[in-house]
Amino acid sequence: MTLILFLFACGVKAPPREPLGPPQRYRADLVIDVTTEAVDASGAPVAALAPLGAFSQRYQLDLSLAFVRDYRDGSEGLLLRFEGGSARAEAEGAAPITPGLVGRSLELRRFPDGEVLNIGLLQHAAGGDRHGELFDLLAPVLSPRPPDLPEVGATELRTARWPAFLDRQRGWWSTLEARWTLLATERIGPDRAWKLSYEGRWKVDGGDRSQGAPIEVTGEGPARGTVWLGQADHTLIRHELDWTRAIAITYPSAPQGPVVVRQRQQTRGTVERLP
Amino acid sequence: MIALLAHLALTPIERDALPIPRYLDEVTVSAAIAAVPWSSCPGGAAQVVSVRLRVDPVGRVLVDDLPQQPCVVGLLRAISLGPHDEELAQIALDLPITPTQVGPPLAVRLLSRPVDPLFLWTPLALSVSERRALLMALGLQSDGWAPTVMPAAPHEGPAGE
Repeated sequence: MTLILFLFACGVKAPPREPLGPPQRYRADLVIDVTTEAVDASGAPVAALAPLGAFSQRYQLDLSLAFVRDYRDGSEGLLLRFEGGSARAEAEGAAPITPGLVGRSLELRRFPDGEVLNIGLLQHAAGGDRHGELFDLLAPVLSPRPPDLPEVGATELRTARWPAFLDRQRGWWSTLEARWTLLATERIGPDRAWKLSYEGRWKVDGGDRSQGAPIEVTGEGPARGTVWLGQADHTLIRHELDWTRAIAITYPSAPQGPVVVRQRQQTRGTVERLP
Repeated sequence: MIALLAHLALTPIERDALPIPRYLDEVTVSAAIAAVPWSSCPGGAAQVVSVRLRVDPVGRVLVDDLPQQPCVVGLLRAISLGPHDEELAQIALDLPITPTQVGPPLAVRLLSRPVDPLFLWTPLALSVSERRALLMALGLQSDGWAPTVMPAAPHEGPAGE
């Protein structure tokens, strides 16, 4: 018996999937509104941070999602790449520009049922004028994990949680606690799809413990959307979303006393799979 | 039990894992390339050139359009990436290159991720100027920062030299 088990354990494993096979391609058409303010402990604006302002930008991004590796726990690593696109200020007459995100990539680690475990390489999209910090939501948007709903009209609460960490000391968790409803089953081109809606709260909680005085990151706001998921392979076909988070970051050891930077970020639009 | 132990011992931590490169980018860089003096490359003064880097799916960094100059070998150090002057990368050529091998593509190896003095790991979407203002207000950054270019160490020439 032991020998049989040993041979079983040493048996030929299934051949690996081909890394970087044909990617799934998506088009994201998103309008992002951002307002920022910085206040001191008394709530008064910090004069030195008057440059922090607001912007409203429309992003039309071509994305690809390609399998790159398997993990031992059954999860998979997908390369999310910003292949191309444009960004344009919503102000009238503004010329489109190529966003700095183009040509950059993240790693989305998830289970096949859609549960997101991690967003890797996000630091590569962040910084500069790229505004990649806004796009951590793409992980759950591209990889939603609705509950199993047996019939049209059924509804259920589900919490999704995903990290965005630079290292052990710096990062934040995002949580989406939403009520999902199965609206219909529809045919989208050649695919049969579930059409689901969700509505809930999007929360952010984290910080930076690498500094002497920890920096605290919190945030919360409403999130709602409609998702079309392919019945054959559970891949995303279309996602209409409207997510908002009001972030507050407390810097306790600024020279002039604690500073709180608040930023409201609203992201709305669609992410749609391309043929 | 033996079978279980054997199974655990034979199963890698990441089965069939393909290493994810730290970068999968296409960027144009202005690089100070320290030419390494050796017998076939007299002079060897450092020079500044523009090159385009790509990272292929298995993590190799490729230099597509390295100028056809035989002395452009050896090390790339402290490269300012693209239009974002806050980023630094340390990149070193992975292969010893002879003059006849100069030309696209050359494989280089990324040594470390960029050190970004203006980097704030938060969900805030800020422009470079906003980030600089915030860091100055927080006492974390002084004004007048500029990328520095580190000279290549003399002993880091191509193998065999």
